[in-house]
Parts: sequence; C-alpha cells; structure tokens
Amino acid sequence: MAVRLILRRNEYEIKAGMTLRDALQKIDVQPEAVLATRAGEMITDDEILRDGETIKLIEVISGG
Amino acid sequence: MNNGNHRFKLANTIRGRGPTVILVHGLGSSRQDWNLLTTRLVSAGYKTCSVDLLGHGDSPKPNTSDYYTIQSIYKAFETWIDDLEESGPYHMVGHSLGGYLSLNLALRRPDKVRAMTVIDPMYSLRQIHPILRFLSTSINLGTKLLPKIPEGWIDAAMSLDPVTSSQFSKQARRRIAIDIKRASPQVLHITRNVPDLTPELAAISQPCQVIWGDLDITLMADSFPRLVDSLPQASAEVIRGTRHQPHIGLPEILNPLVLEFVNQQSRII
Repeated sequence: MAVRLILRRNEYEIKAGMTLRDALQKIDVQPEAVLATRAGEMITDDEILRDGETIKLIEVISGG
Repeated sequence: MNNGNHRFKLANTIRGRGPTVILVHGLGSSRQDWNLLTTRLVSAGYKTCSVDLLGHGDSPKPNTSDYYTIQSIYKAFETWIDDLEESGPYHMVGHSLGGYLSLNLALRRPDKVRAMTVIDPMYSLRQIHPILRFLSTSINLGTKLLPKIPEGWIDAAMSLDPVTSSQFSKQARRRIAIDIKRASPQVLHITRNVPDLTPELAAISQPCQVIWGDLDITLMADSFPRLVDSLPQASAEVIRGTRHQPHIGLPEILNPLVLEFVNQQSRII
C-alpha cells in the first residue's frame, strides 16, 4: 500500500512509513511552500505517513 | 424581505459587463471592501455586484435586535439576489460572514451559485477564537459601547497590531473604522446564534476556492483545512503572514488568485 499526496490537480503516490518531510523531498516540494493536512487536520513535517492515507497539500503563498 | 411586515432594499454597486461575480463583505464591513477587486474583475470582463448586508454600510439599519439574526441577514441577502436583473448562477466571493452567506446560498439555492471563492470564511461558531467567544457573551454591553467609541480609537487599535499596521494603509484603516461606526451596533447580535454548516458542507457540489491568512486570529486559521476537507470540490491557498482580511491587507497577492479562479470557472462554463 502507498500514501497519496494531492497538490492542486496533481496526485503522487509514495511509500508509507517515511516522514512527511522526506515525502515532500521525493516529490520535489519545499516543506515551507505547503501546508499538509490529514482529514482536515494539519500535520507536521516529522509525522510518519501511514498506509492507505491521503494527505492534502495546500499551497502557501508568501505574503507579509 | 418579509420579516414582520418589512421589506428592506439593500444598497449595492453594480459595475462592468460580462459574467456576474457577487461580492459579500464580512461583519461590520461594507461593499467598499471590494473596491480593488471589483476594479480588477471589471477590467478582466466581468460584471460585479457588491452588496451592503442588512445593518451595514448604506443598507437599512432597523432599530430592533430581532432583525439581527443570521436568518434575517441571510433572508435579506437571498431576496436581494432574487431581485437581481439576471437569474444566475453567479460566481460568489464572500469574506468571513459573507463566506457563511455564500456557503449557505450554495446549500439552499444551488441554482444561484456556479462557483465560489470564500476568504477566511465562517462556517461554524467554533471557529471563533476563544477570547472573542468569551467577549461575545457581553454583546449587550458591546452594542451600548460601540456608538460611544470614536473612530480614531478603532483606527488606533488596529495600529497596535504590527501585522495589521504594516499591511493596512492609513486610508484602509480609516475606511474600516468608518464602516464599523456606520454599521448598526446591533450587528453584534448576528453571531449570537449561527447554525453550524459543518454537517451540510459535503452537499455543496459547486467548485469552491478557499483562501485564508495563516495568522488569522479572528476565526482560527486551523479551522480552514477542515472546511477544505469537507467540501467535495475545494481548492485552497494559504497566504503567509496575514490575518483575517487578506483582501484589504494584501490585495496585490489575493486579487490575482481570485481572478485566476474566476477565469478558470468561467472557461469551464
């Protein structure tokens, strides 16, 4: 089983068991450029991604 | 609207020609909130209709608190929509309370909503910061005090927050203070009892763009991912380093995001 990462209209599948930080590195996304959520709750970079789950990545735009 | 025997005529501004975008402000604000965004939308070929909600801006301000419920505010807003020249469906843009009304319209009148953009939207009273929730228990005191507070004090209070003071121009702060002062103090009653939309959000089938400031402390910023997760067709953007009103603090960042989404949805149609 894998973990699904969704960023805008793009979907990525990565192996379960790695941290969010490593997963983002794999798909070439800077951790500070996105906010990651699992079932609507924000998760941190050091969270281990679990089999079968979907992580939504929300784009963070630099503001003030 | 028929609330008792009254029908209120809400103030609005209609600009431009093209597919219609409706803009709805938040609590204590007015349609002036959208001056920059409407200019941008009109230049891009859209017609914009911005409204002053009941008790706000140039709209009627009935004296009795009975009218200041979310149901009455929504009913007056829905009646205003029904009275518009075209029958829709429209692209809705709503901020905070205006976001709540847009989501509610999508649920009650899905024929009227093609797509929507909600900015730091309210969908549940649980989003309100606990300190504000505590203060809201003194609504009656607030409605008595608000008329006595000078505009300059409201402006000065905004200057105390380094984020707001660095992002809001002097004119924007003054306009916000004027809008707060000219709104009926009774508008504070609106948030007393607001039905939670959470259980119904999954029924909203229209595309929805959700944008928020990551430093929002009026409605807690961590409540917005839950909204995104609950809406079947949501896209989201977070603007770093801004609070509850990114359309006023950082229009140069927010407005292009809104326009891009409106364009996308218009092309789909």
